Amino acid sequence: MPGKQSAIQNSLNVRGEKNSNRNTKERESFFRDFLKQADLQVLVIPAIFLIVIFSYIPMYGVLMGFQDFQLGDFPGLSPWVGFRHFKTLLQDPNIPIVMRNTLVISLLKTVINFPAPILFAVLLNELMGKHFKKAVQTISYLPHFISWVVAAALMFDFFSVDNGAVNSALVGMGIIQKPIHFFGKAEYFWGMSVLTDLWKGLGWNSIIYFAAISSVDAQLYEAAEIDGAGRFTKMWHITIATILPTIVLLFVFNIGGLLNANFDQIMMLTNQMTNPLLRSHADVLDTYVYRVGLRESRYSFGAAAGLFKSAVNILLLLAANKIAGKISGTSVL
Amino acid sequence: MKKSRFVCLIAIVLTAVLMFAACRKSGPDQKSPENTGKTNTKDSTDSKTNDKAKEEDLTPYTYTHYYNYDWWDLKEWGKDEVSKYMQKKFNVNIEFSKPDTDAKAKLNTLITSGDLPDSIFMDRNQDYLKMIELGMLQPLEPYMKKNPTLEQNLLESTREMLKVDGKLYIIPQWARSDHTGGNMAWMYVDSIYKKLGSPKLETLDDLYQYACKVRDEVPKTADGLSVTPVQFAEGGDGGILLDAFYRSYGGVRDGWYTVLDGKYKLLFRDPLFKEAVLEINRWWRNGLISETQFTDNGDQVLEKMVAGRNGLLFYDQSKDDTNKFRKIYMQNHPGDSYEMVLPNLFPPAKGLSPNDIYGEWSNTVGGSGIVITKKAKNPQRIFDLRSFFFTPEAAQLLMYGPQGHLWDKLDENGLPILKKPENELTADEVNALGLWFWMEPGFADSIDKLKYAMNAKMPPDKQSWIVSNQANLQTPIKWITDEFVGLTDDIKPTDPEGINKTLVEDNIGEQLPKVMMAKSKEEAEAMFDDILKFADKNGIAAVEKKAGTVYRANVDKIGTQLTKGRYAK
Repeated sequence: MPGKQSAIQNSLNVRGEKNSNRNTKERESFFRDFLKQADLQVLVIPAIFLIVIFSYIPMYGVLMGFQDFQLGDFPGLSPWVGFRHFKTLLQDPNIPIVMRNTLVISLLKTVINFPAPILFAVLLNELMGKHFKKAVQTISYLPHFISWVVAAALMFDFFSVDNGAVNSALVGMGIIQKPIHFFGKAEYFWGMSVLTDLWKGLGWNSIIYFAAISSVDAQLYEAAEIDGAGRFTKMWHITIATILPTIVLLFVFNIGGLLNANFDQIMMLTNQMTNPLLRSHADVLDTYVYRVGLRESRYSFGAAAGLFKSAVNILLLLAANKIAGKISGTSVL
Repeated sequence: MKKSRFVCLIAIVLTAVLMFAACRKSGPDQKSPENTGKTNTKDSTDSKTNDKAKEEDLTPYTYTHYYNYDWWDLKEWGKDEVSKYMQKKFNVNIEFSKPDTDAKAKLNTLITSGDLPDSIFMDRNQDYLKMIELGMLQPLEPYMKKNPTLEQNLLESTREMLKVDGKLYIIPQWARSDHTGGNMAWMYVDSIYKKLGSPKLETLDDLYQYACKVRDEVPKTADGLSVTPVQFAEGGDGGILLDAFYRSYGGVRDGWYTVLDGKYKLLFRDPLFKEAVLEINRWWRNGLISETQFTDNGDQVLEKMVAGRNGLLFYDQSKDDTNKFRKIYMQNHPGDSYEMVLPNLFPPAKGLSPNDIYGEWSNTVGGSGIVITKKAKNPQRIFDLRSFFFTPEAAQLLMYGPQGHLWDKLDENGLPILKKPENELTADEVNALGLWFWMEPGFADSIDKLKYAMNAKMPPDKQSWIVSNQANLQTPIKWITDEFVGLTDDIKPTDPEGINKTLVEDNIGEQLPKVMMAKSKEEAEAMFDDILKFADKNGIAAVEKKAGTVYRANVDKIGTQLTKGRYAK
């Protein structure tokens, strides 16, 4: 075993050295290379535009969170009110429930829906039949292309009390006596949101891992086989080990988005939050801001809540990055 | 390598093209009104030369009109017969626009950029008041002096109610001076009713007994689908059920508020309201209401209705015009239908007399309307066109089109003699004529009057079920009052009272269905009391006080209609 590990380690080190050599060279001739690649560099311009227009310019709007915006004001030029909206936010009796829902739904998704695509990709990678593999992959990521509006309608029919497929099957098999009203009981909502999210995202989220796996050097597997490694050893010590940086990167991003609990999905599964029976378990920060901030024209309050969310998200991102850096030695930022 | 460079170059060119395409100013949507504007102006110039007498009063005028609703359907002006007629009559072209999404944000952009349209169709809400405050809207008094049509058709009290700081700024949508029309009604599936021996359905208790019978004796339709004893229209907060029950208890509600001893109070302070809610809970506990009542959307309810899967139905009967719930049911089940529960549209509870029951009500001012902004170059022309909508002539035009299409002659009562009955017109014919499309501002008095008269002169078997119901059953019990108008105008959603109001009403919307669905009477009562406690804790008293002051002032000005039954004192 130690021999095999060191072989892999050596090979990784060799690649790493190569990389660092190249980096130094590149830095030296940065401008020359830049000019040489001018056509490629131009390709970045749209992305920069995109980020400036949709991410940087709107940041100006956070000023509204410290002001009292009224219809007719130019954003950012309203009277200043300090932290009033943040105080209102923290004193709001709904906030504890809203935060609980946000965190629980996000954490459940992190615990279940984050590792699922990794497992899926790794297991599928072990399959031999190429066509079967492709077919499974394609079928699994199809749901991603259905918008939540349509997906929610599908789910309502699928889980309907009234001759819905799931209820009919469960009743038919004698598992339950009476159909279950899946979207009528708040307690089921967390489960439903995780499940539907998993169905929709599993295949799509696994694509990036497939890509990472495909770049694993086949020689590593051969070397490991010569060393007598079994299937699971190879999976763990080669496949997972090589895609670990990808996993860490996505995990850090995932933690950074912990307070985003998938607005589209929750809005649609609750009929735009008009389903009163689900609200106690479905109202998350984003839907609450939408309900109270935007629908009631409390824009400043909405901006404050948004800023609060972003600040927490950044802190989480940095913390996750730090922890990831300590544990795996791979820091993303 | 070379190949990849080539691909890169192509990608760069493509990106550049895409970027320029995206940055170009005019999309097809924006361009089309301009085009039509131009061609229409040309048309109207032609008509101008044809008719010299008109030239003096009616020079061609083009203005912009904005619908402040993202769900609005736009149609070009002058493409159908109705708008073509008005285009000629007033020599006016209108360029329409609307927000693609997020109407509030778009309105704010229009205001801050100073790029307002000439006229706007919008709700009479906080945004409207703010625009008046910012001095962006035209007071209509000067134009009313030149053209008294609006003034003549609106009640004086209506005009007073609509005024802000002593001036009128809006041409109201669906204003009225008469108590005509109606929507919600109890109905039953005829075949089930006959099967159960056509029992009398005069009181709320009769309905309860009937629903129990449906539950026990008709669990399935002839097609084998399960039957819900009582189905209500969709709506998550349970408000529809209150309309059905609280009325039967003699109550009148204005949203989540009512009047107790002459004071404007939260509904939950009314013991009678509690009784009504507990009664709903009793129906629920006895399995009369569907488990999915509070989660079904409109389509899901419609699906059940067209399959006749309900013994009793409480629904907007006039929706048969749009979603055809009754027509489809009757088509698929010959000889069967939905019929109105009679003789009491809202069967009384607790031995009340039918005379003590308040039916549906509306105010005389409507909820939205057209405002003219200070951007308009010729506000009088916009005002003249929109005032025309209040005339009986306009009602006839909007509903049956101009002469020479659907009708050629008028009968001795001045009603058009239709060449084809209204309900036999195809959707294409209606669109080509533009019937029922241009209804801003609709005027309930003239529209309803003509609608009922036209219906009444048809042979009984050709009459519209909806219109007959409205004219003969619902109009007599409908009532109008303006005492509840503008009560919360002073409560902005950003004020402490506004924040509390939203908080309390949101909580009601979430908790009330749970009260209705409680497993026992005691549980329901406890949850009901909790809602009131939450409201008291979160400062609802200040809201009641502020709205109550306006209510008092309204009553002092125009009196109250709450004079019978429990309100008689």
